[in-house]
Amino acid sequence: MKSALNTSELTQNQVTIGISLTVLGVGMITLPREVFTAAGVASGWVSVLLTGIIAAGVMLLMIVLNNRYPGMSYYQYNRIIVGSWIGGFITLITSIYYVTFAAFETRAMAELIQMFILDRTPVSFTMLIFIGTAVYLVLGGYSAIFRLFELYFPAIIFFTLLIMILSANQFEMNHIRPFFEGFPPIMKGMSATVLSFVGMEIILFIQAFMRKPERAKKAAVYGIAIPTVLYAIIVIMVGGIMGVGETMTLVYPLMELAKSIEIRNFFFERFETFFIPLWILSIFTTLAIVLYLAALGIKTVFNVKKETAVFSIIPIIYILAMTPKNINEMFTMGVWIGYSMLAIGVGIPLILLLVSILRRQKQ
Amino acid sequence: MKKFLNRLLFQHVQKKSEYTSEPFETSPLHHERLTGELQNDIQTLKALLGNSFDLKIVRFTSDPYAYDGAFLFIEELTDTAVVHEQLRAIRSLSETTYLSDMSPETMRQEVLTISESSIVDTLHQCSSHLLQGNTLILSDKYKDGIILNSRKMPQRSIQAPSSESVVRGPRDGFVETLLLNIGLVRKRLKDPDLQLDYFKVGERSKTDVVVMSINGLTNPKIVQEVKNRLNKIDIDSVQESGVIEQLIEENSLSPFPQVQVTERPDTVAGSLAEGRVAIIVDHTPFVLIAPLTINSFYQSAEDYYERWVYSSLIRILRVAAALIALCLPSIYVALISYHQGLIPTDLVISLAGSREGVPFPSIVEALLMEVTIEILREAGIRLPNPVGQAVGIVGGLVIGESAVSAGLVSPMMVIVVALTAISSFALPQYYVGVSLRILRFPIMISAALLGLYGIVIALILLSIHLIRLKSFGVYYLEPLVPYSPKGWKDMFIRTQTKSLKSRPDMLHPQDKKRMSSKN
Repeated sequence: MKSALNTSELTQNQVTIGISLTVLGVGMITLPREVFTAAGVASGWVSVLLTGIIAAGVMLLMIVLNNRYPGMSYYQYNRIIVGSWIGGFITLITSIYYVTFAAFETRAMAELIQMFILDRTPVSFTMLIFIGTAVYLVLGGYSAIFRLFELYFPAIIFFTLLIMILSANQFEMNHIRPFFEGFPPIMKGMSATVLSFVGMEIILFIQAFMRKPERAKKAAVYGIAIPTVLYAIIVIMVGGIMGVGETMTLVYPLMELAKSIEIRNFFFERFETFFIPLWILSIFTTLAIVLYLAALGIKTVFNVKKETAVFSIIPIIYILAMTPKNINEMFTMGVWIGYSMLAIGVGIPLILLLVSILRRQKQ
Repeated sequence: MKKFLNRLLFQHVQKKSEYTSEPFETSPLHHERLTGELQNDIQTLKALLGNSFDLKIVRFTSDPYAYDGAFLFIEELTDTAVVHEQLRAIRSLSETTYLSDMSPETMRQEVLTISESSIVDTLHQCSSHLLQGNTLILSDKYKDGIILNSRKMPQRSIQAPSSESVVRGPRDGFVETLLLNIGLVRKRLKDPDLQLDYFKVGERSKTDVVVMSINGLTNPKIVQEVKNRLNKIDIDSVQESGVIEQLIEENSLSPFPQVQVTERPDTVAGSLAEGRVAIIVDHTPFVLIAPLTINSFYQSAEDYYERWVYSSLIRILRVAAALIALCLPSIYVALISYHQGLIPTDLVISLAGSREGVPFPSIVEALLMEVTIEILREAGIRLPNPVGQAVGIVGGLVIGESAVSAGLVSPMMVIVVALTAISSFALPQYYVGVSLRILRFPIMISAALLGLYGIVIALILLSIHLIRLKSFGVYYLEPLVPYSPKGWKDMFIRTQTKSLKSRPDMLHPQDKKRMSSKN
C-alpha cells in the first residue's frame, strides 16, 4: 500500500553513514598490509590521513558538479554535458566498473568465510546466498539501503573499536617509530590506500536523493572523515602490535589482531570468530550500494525496469567473482578496481566538471 | 466483441459497487414506504425479517378504539422495560387527549417518555432499526413509524485483562461492549478534541467500528489512511478485531504484526496521547492501535508508571529475552555442528560427553525439542486451567528428563530449549513472542546449513525485512532508524519522565509538546 507519510528522501545523517559504510569494506581488513608493503615504513598511517584529505577535496569538487544540475544524479546529467551517446557510454562503463567491484566484494567475503569459518562449504554457495541477500535489499530501493546502513553503522564502529580497545595492552610504541621518514614512502603508501577509499564517488549519485541537498558538503566531509580516522587508527594499532615487518606477511592483518586478543575466563574462546559477522556486515553494506548503482546505470542505459536490471547483472557478478583462481589473483583484481576508480569514479567526473564549466552550462 | 466484453465487465463492476454502498438492497420491498395500514405493514415487516418467531408484536388501542397501534421489537435484543413503560405512558393519557389527533411527531414529543426516539418512514429503516434492538411503533393512521431506542446491551463486568497483566497500573480491561469500551477510554482522556469516527463493517454482521484519534494532535494523514483502509473492507461478517487487523495491515506475508492489540484502556489512552490511532470493534475486548513500531515489542504500559531506572533495566532485559528467544537454539546448533573450537575446552569436553550416545545431529535434536515444547504450550492453552498446568508440568519435566535419560537429546539441549521458551514468554505482548517463535525455526535451519555465516545471513535478511516494513506509513524500526535522537530517550532506555518533553517524532504529531519546559 502507498505510504501516507513521505519520508523516503535521505537525511544528512544517512548520507554521512552511507558514504562511510561504502568506503569501509574489504579495505578495512587488508589495509595495514597494503600500506606497509607499499610504504615499507611505520609512518603508513600518515598516508591514510593524506589520502582521506585528498578524497574529501575530490568529493567537494564532485558536489560542485552536482550543484550545477540540481535534482539530477550523475547518470542523468552526464548526457546533458556530453550528449546522450557519450553520456550513455560513460554510464555503461561506470555500471561495468560497479559490477566488477560488486564481484570483488563478493569474492573477498567468500574467501574470508572459507578461511575462517566454513572451510568445506563451496565458495560458490556462500557467494550466491550473499548476492541474493543483497538483491533483496536493493529491490527495496535506495531508501531501504540507507536506513539499513543506519542500523548497522553503530555496530560496525563499536565492534571495530572494541578490537582496538581489547588489544591495546599489547601495543608497543617502538613498532611505529619513527613517525616521519621523508615523503617518498608516504607517497608510495598513498597509492596503496586507493582501494580502501573506493566508493567515495557515490556522492555523485546520492546527492539527488537528499531532502536538503545543500547539506551534501557537510555530509560528504563527515562521511569521508569517519573511515579515514578509523583506517588510521587501524593502521597505527596493527603496526604497533604486530610490527611493520610482520604485518606485511599477514593476509588479513586486522583479523590477526583480533586473534591476538585473549580474555581469560570468558565464556567463548577464539574470540576472533565473533568479529566475522562484523566483516560480513561491512562488506555487505558496500556490496548493496554498489549493486544498486550498477543496476541504476543499467536501468538508465537500456531503459528497462529496476527488477530486470538487478536480475540481469547477478549472473555477470557471479561469473566475475568466480574468475580469480586464488586469493592472490583476487587481490590483483582489487588493485585494478582501485585504478579504475581513479579513472572512472574520479577522472571522468572531473573532466565532465571541466567541460560543464567551459560550456557554461547551469540548470 | 471486445467492447461488449468490456461493457459487460464494467457493468458488473458498477453493479458491485452499488451493491456495496447500499448493502440492504436484497429485496425490492426495502425501498417501499410504510402504507399506513397497520395489518398490512406488520405483515410486510414480518416477511422481510423472514417470519422469525422472535419478532414480538404488542397491539394496543387508545381513544376508545379509534386508534390502533402496535409495538414491534425483537425480543432478545430489546430491553422490554422500555416497551412496558411507553405502553403505560399511552394508557395513562387523560380522557380528553386523543392519540388519533396527533401526528407521530407530536406523539413522540408529548406522549412518549423516552428520551431517544426518531421518526422513520421506509421499510428499510424499520427493519434495520429492529435488528439493532430498537422498538418500532406503528399506527393504523399514519405513514410514519416511531423508533424508540431500547437496545439491550448484554455486558460482562469489567475485569483485569488476562493477556496483559501488570504489577502496577489500573486493573480494568476492555469488555465486549463498544460503548462501554469507548467510555473507558473517554474517562481517561476528557478532551473535547477526542475524535470518534463511526464505521459499519461487514455487509451481514454490520459490526460497529469506531476510530479514535485526537484532533489537532494525531497526524491527519495517518487518521485518513486508517479510515481509507477501513472503507475499502468489503466482507460479509466481522466477528473480532483480528479480522480487521489482517485486512488493514500493509504486508500480510510478514511474520510481524503491524497493528498493536491491547486489552488495556490505559494503553489506548496513552497511545492516543502519543499520536496514534485506536480502532475499537464492537463485541471484542481487543482494541487495535496503529501504527505499530518495533518499540511495542518490548515496551509495556507499566514502564511509564514505574520509576525510570527500573523500567529501563526491565526493557533491556526484555530485549535480551527477545534475542535469546530468536537466536539461542541456532547459536547452539552452529557451535555444536561447525565451530566447536569456539567453545571453551573444558566445556567442549563435558558437552561431548553429554552428547555421547545421542544418535542425531544437533539440528534434529533441536527441532525435536522445540516442536515438543510448542506442542506442550498449545496443549496447555486449550485445556482447562488446572489441567493445563498439570500437563505443562508433567510434559515439561517428564518428557525433558526421560528424553535425556533415554539418550534422545543431550541435557544441554534441554537447557537451551527451556531458556528459549521462557524468554519468548517474557515479552509483554503475547503476539510478539509468537512472531519470534516462528522466526526461530528458519534461523535454526540456516544455522544447521551454514553455521555462524547462516545465522548472520538470516539476521541480515530479517533486518532488511524490518527495514522495508511499514505500518501506516511509519517505518517499523522508527525511532531507531532513521535516527531520531529525541525518540531514543524512550526506547531501550526510558529516561526520566521529566525529560520526555515532546511526543515521538516518528508519528509526526501536529502538537509536538507533551510537557511544559518548567517541569
